[in-house]
Amino acid sequence: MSLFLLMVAFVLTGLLNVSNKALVEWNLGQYRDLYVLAYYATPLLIGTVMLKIRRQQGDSTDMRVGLLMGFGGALALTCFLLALQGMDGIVAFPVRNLGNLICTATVSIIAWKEKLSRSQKVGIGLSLVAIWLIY
Amino acid sequence: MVTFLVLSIAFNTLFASCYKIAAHKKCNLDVVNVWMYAGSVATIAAVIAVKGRLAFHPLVFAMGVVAGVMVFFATLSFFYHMKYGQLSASWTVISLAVGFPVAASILAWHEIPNLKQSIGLALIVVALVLFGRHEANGGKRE
Repeated sequence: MSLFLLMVAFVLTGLLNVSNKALVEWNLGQYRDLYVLAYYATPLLIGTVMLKIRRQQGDSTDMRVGLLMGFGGALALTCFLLALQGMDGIVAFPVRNLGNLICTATVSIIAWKEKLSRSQKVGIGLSLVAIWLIY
Repeated sequence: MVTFLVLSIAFNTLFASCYKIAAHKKCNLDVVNVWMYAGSVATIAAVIAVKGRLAFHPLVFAMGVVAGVMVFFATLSFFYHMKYGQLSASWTVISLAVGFPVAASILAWHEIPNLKQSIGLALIVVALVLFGRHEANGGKRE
């Protein structure tokens, strides 16, 4: 069951990216605000209903962290859709993925004093080489 | 376009870092997720308000709604899986979903990677697996 859920998340994440690409390829980029609004308003509705059913309540920390994430998530998607307008998908998707990996690792090192293992150092090096090759 | 891609990476890093904060502060992730969607809606609503207009297209609206349902269930499935699965392997598998849009770009929209790009694409898999290995080792130590 656990592996099935991971596969569901994997396939849905992939399809979401394809949907972003399709929006641009079908020349619908000028409607991106509507797309992003529906993209987040739909899970907001479903999630709110589920929280009510489960009678789950959070605190102010949950709210602050969630709102900050939402700010980052919405702007990240909007900027990425804008980037896709002028870049090939075979470049934009991998570069964004590896860029996220490198930046998140860097933040983890600086903010959370996480140590780099040898394999992670090699991973970062390979990511930089991959970005250079793809771009 | 590169500027937007860099900005996207920066905002995504903020987003991912907040997950770390949420875990560190032992937040209720179900609640955090709903607030995250609320924050996203508020942000895009502010963008629309600044622009002063929202163009409507039924297909785009439908695509957004379908994508929104997928976002919800992808997140839900991932969190439920994480209760039993290993973070490293799971995160690596999810990261490899980048293969979908790359494959679609090649097969559906006929973007042909050159040799350099093909090698770079192959390196992604190796890089992600190496990251996953590190997280697994780190998790065991912790």
